[in-house]
Amino acid sequence: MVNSMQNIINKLKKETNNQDGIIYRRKKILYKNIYIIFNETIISSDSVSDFVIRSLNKIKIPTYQNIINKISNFKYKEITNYKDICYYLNSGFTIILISKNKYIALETRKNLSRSITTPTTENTPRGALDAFTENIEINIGLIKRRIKSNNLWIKKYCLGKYTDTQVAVLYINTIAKEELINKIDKLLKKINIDGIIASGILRNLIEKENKNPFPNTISAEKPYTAARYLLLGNAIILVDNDPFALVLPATLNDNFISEEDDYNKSINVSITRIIRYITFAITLLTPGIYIALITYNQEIIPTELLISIAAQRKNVPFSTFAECLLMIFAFEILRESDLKLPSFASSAISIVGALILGEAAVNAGIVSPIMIIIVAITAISSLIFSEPEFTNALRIYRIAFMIGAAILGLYGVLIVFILFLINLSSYDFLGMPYLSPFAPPDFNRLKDSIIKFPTKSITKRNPILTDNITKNKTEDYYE
Amino acid sequence: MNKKIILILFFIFLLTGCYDNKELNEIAILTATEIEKVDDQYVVKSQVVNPQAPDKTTITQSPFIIYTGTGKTIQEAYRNTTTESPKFLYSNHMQILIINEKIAKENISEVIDFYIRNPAIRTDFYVLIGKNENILDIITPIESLSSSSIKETLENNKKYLGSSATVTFDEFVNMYLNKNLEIALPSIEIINHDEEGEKLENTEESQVKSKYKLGNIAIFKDNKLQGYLTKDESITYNILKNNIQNTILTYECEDKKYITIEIIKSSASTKITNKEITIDINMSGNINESHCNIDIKEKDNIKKIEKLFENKLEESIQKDINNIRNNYNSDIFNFLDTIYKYDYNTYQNIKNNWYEETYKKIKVNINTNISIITKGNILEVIDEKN
Repeated sequence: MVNSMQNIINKLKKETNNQDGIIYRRKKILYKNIYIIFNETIISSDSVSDFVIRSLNKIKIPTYQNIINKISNFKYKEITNYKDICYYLNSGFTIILISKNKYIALETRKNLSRSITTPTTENTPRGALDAFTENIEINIGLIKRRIKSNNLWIKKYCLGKYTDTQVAVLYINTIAKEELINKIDKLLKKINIDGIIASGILRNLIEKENKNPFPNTISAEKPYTAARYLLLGNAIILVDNDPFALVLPATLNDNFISEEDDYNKSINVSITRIIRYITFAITLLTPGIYIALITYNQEIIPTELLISIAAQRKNVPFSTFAECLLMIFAFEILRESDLKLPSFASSAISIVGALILGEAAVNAGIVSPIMIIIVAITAISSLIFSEPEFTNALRIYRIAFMIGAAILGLYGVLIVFILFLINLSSYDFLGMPYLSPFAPPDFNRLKDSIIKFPTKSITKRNPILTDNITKNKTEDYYE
Repeated sequence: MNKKIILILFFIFLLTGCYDNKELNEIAILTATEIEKVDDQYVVKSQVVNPQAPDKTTITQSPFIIYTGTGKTIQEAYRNTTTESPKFLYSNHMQILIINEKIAKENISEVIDFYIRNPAIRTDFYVLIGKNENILDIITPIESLSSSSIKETLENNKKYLGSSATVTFDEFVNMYLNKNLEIALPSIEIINHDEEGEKLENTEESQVKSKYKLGNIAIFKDNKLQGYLTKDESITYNILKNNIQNTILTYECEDKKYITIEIIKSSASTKITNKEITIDINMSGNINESHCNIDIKEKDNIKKIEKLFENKLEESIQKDINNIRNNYNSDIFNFLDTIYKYDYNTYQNIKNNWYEETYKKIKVNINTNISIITKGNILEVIDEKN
């Protein structure tokens, strides 16, 4: 019998190449040997010595029941096989081998995650300032703090052959459709990969990656955003060791909604949303339309403006398309280097960028001043979206519009625009059309799209996401 | 397979691409054209913008260049400018077309043909009659392009006086094609045309020596220029054609003393009643200047001024219409068109002998109604120590 416990230890030692972080401690109580195994790098030595060993010291008769009764750790698991031993050992538990096939795992994890900090990608002037961390339990806790109902259900998965990453799917079972959860369940169960170390990897595994450059999920950094979408019937996927939650399925319209909107009056929100949609059009179309006007449809430009542009372009040796591509390329380089550079060096980037791209390029006659304006307005407009994937997708279509304009003028812009609309409207993710609520039209949800109606009048959820449609029954006191 | 076919079909669209691609650097923006005729050859002068670098504060080059081409047709003359011009003349931004008096006196229809046939030319440019030659050569102050300058002067005149008219090419063609209408076009002339006027120095003095000036309205009959109206007749023409946005009327109130009224609203309607033409004119205006000592605090006095103006206006319009009928015998007021619209039977009877018999004799009744809205900041005339 003793030998079989020794077997387990030997097997473990062999598999881990006798890693010196794993401590095997033998303890003799009365006539019986029990073994305590833990991994030094991920356990808290305090809880092992204070709780596990001290409790064991007090035990007189080492029976299985007795140990479970007397042990003072708050969380324990009764396990029976070797595979579980490995899993819990690698998750920071302390394993006590009591007999041949009776083991318990005691929670003694070291706190390896940072504390809750403020969000870095979703900036809002008002609103809660807590953001997700790398610890999935803290993340679930942050959401649970906001949704206290029993109906917040959590499904857990272990994905990744080597990483054994915990993945949790959160949803409110009375709101989210079972169909959606089943689909996600199927998608997740199909995953068979060596490791999931980021939510982005998971996202690319479950999305139709190449059908559409626009993202179908939102990576939410704030528990606030996650809770907001849970209440609408979306599901949230949390991945351990990743501070971003995936909201799915997401639509185009979701990229135009910000937390700030909930703090403002609906009329002000409407104006902000309209500006966001106009900005979307500006960042997508401006370079294309400019190229079309300058190379094909000069008759549309007012005469005085045309003369002024002609004067600016007089000494530029490149075609408008090449000039535009050059400047957009330069901007993309700036953006990329700004992302990669530590913040203390970013002022250097801005000086070099502003001076070289703004002043010197014009003075050297490489680009015209009007092109700087065009690229600047395009660039500024593209940065209002907090989801970086969205900005990246806009970039692809912007260049498509430019090519269309360079080949066919305004007619080409129109053709690319039709292709763009076909692409967006023919696409759905987990049953959610990407252009919802515009296509197919859903009048209840249109109340919270380009225009936001008064909050009291937004009473319905999206029927595609939920059967429990009514979300708001607030009566109007002032009527 | 299907996808491939769709892709191929899509690329058919692309194959048509670039056929009208013109980089902005490759085109010369044509802003105005002047057409003259020398020895049965059309001489077409194209005003082309010479874009100046925007950062230069002092202009050292002429803001525009005139290219001259000669040919038997206007298109040939345009194309012959390629011997001078380094860039293709892009005519979609043409603002002004000046047709020389001589062509107008012969026949204007040949000019119309080219511009209406050519799809690359927009038809919203203004048409004017040039009383003398080389009008576009003059470099003007304030607006450095003389085409913009002329265009804005035309619009400015329409807004505040109405002694000229803005006629776009569309309207011109409409007048030309409609049998019941006669053509009336604004005119323009150059004062003191000398070589200095074509240099930048022309704009250096406060008293600009060489300058253009809008003339009065040129009237046509059977597509031939008959002559020019006087200033008052031009204003009358515009009143009857409802072209007035704002103008002034000045009439004598006492001996050698005058009152000026600014007309801010004017509407005229022409009708046929009992084979007579009735013109109702409604105007409202403000007293802008008064030399007579009239106490305008009294309502009766205002009524008197209104009455005076109504009578004088009626009189002068009657006089102008008669003058035009007698001197030019051209129906620029569209009386025939009005008869055509309101009384088709009469029209059938008179249309053949319109100019020979009816036009000069037909009775014109004029009813005017002027209401004065505001009287200005002073109620009495400024008098010495009163």
